[in-house]
Amino acid sequence: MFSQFFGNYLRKRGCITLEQMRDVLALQDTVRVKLGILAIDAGYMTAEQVEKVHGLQSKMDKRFGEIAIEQGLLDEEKLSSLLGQQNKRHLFISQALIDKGIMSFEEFQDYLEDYKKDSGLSPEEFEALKKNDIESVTQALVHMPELGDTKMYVEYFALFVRNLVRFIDGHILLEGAQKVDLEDFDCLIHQEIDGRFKFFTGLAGAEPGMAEFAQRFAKMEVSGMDALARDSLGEFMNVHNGLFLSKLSNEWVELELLPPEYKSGGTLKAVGVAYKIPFVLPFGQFNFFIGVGSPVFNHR
Amino acid sequence: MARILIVDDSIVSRTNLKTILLDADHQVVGEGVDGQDGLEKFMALRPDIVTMDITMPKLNGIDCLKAILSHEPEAKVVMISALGQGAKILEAINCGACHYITKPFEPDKVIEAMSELMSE
Repeated sequence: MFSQFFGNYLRKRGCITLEQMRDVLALQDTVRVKLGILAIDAGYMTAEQVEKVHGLQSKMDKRFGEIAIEQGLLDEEKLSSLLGQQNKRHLFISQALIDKGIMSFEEFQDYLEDYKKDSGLSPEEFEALKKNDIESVTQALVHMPELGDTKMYVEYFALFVRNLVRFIDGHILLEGAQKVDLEDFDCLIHQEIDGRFKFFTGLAGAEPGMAEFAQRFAKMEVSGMDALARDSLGEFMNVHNGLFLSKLSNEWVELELLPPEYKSGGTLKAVGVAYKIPFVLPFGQFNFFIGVGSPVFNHR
Repeated sequence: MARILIVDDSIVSRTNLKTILLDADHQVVGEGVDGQDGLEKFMALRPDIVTMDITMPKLNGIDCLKAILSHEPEAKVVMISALGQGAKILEAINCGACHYITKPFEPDKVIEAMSELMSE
């Protein structure tokens, strides 16, 4: 998750293009994070020191760690700690950007420092982001103060993100929640939940992305938003909302799921308070909706 | 091996369940796409076990269960539902359903439920 956030930050700053970001995100599962990046991220070495070791590596047949110790830049303990962190997923994008020559070690060090400041996250929240701690990241990024039981809705959305990871794709980029009144959509699957809490949830996006989403959940080939794709999206909502209701049921709150409904080419008008949370997956942009009461839908 | 009828309006759900059952060497003798279709297929096929989704158009799973049991009181019907539908599952059990399975399907639990019913 950190890779998506850091990549998007670099894109917004104009350090990389959208195409470059997509290229490296596609590569990230195959990239091996090297000691130089890990040492900068851990604050053990500066970019200049890493470049120096790389320079020496080109002149002698020794490993990065050996040279760094000889030069007094790392000790055995720190090297051992770094070697144990080479599966750190949050650094894959940085390694890929450096490997492709898009970013230097020095730029990586500077951008990482800037991102820590500009993200608005506390040090604890920043660490949570690096560790892919979905619960903490969601709490840090998704604020829906007017929904009343904020804790419940944030937990709800954290579960949604976990289900995205579980069923659809682990490479998610979340934006902050925005209050909405009237919102156009291309394709929308929505489901209402009734009982002590009455609220609606929905997932919207353009047809190609929604079809791909449906295909991934069903593990069956779909053709655009055909009947199978619509059915798959409905099942995703049933499964996701069912998991949430089950959790509430353990806390003695019984709610009822109404059947999911699919709509296309329309407008959602919130009757009560409603928020949208934009998010990006590798194959498209989506909006997640959550709000109290039942929204009104109109065809455009 | 059991002869099983799957009744569910979701093709995704039917396909997933069918794959699990076939992998466990059960025979899927038919598929009903709603409660009405499920009732007609039950009468025609007389399966050993029926898996019945709760929320369906035309005739919902609980009404279909009642209709099946009125024709065949010994019918073995397993209810299928999303998690979090505890009240409806309870209602179905009170109406005579033998078992229930929740989505997303866990293959081990599906197979276990079928084995229990076949050993009764």
